[in-house]
Amino acid sequence: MEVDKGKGEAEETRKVAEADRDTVTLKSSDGKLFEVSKEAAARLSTVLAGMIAGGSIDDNGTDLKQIGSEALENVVDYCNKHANSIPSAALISSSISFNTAPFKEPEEWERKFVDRLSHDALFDLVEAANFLGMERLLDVTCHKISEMMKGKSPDQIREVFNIKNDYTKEELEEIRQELAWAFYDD
Amino acid sequence: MASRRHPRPEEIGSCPVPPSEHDANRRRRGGGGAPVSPCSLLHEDLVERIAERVLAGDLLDYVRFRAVCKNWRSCTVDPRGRCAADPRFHPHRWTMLPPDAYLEQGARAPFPELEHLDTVAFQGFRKVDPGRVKGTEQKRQQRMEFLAWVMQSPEFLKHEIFQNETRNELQKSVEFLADGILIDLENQLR
Repeated sequence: MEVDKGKGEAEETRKVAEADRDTVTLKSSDGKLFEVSKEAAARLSTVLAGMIAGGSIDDNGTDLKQIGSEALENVVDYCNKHANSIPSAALISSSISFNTAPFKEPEEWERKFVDRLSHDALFDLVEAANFLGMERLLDVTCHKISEMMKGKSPDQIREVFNIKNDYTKEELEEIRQELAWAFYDD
Repeated sequence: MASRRHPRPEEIGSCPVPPSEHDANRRRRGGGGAPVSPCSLLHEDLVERIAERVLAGDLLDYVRFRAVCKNWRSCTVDPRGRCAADPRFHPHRWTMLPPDAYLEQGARAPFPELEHLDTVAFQGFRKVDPGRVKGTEQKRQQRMEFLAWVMQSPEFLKHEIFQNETRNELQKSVEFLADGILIDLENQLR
């Protein structure tokens, strides 16, 4: 009886200790481990917040099979930078009310953060943010991508982002006629 | 958000795979084949979200965005016919395109500015051969821009509303757009 009780207490203590850890370990699709502040992860990612609350965080590395190590590194980097910046009330509320808060312009450090990424890294990060339910990071990355398209013709956008023009000639002509006003020269 | 909607059945096939089926490493390791474009594989939600940011910048960019590839087009809302009803589609950074008649008559254009407020992108509009745009669509665009211009220039309205020409133009524009909205509604109900 006494022994059992002791065991139970030890279990309790271990659980409390786990809950007290202030970082979580994330594991990328290629098996690399990353540590991130639990507070920042829970605040910035609805998915991680759910996992932390639901106790499905693995001390040896929570598997995120959909996210490669480069993208996960960027996610963690973003979380850490975010934790170090003074979060404005607006940012906190935008991460809570999914998809309803009005868009807030990226802050200076967020701009710098996405500006240094290659196209591939940027798109990987968008998908990782989407997967993890990171509303603010999605806003910042999608805003960056939209800025890269500003003032460009469809041809120029295809070139920059390496997109195949999959319209047939007829379809293209139809679109052109419909929307001739949006094109520069022809 | 307002642009969220269920895809129509015929669009489902053309939309990319959901994120759960994504292989994070799929792009760069294509087995030596042609590089697969990252964006054309984007999930529909992400295309919508990017499109929304593009639209928040400029309607013109949004229209170009939709012309890039089939997938992007099918995942985003057609702005035509929505411009008047939905404020997101208002050409809020544009100034008025004067009807060609004003210029042909050699009269002073009654509008102080003729440029896109951010860029000269708006100039592109005027280079378009009018014969290539369907008459109704063109008229609608002009009316829409006229209204957009008037809406953001209350001063102009105050001064010019008493001139018959302006008042008529305004009245016609409102009627024209109202008709357009009704037709769109009817089409949606069908």
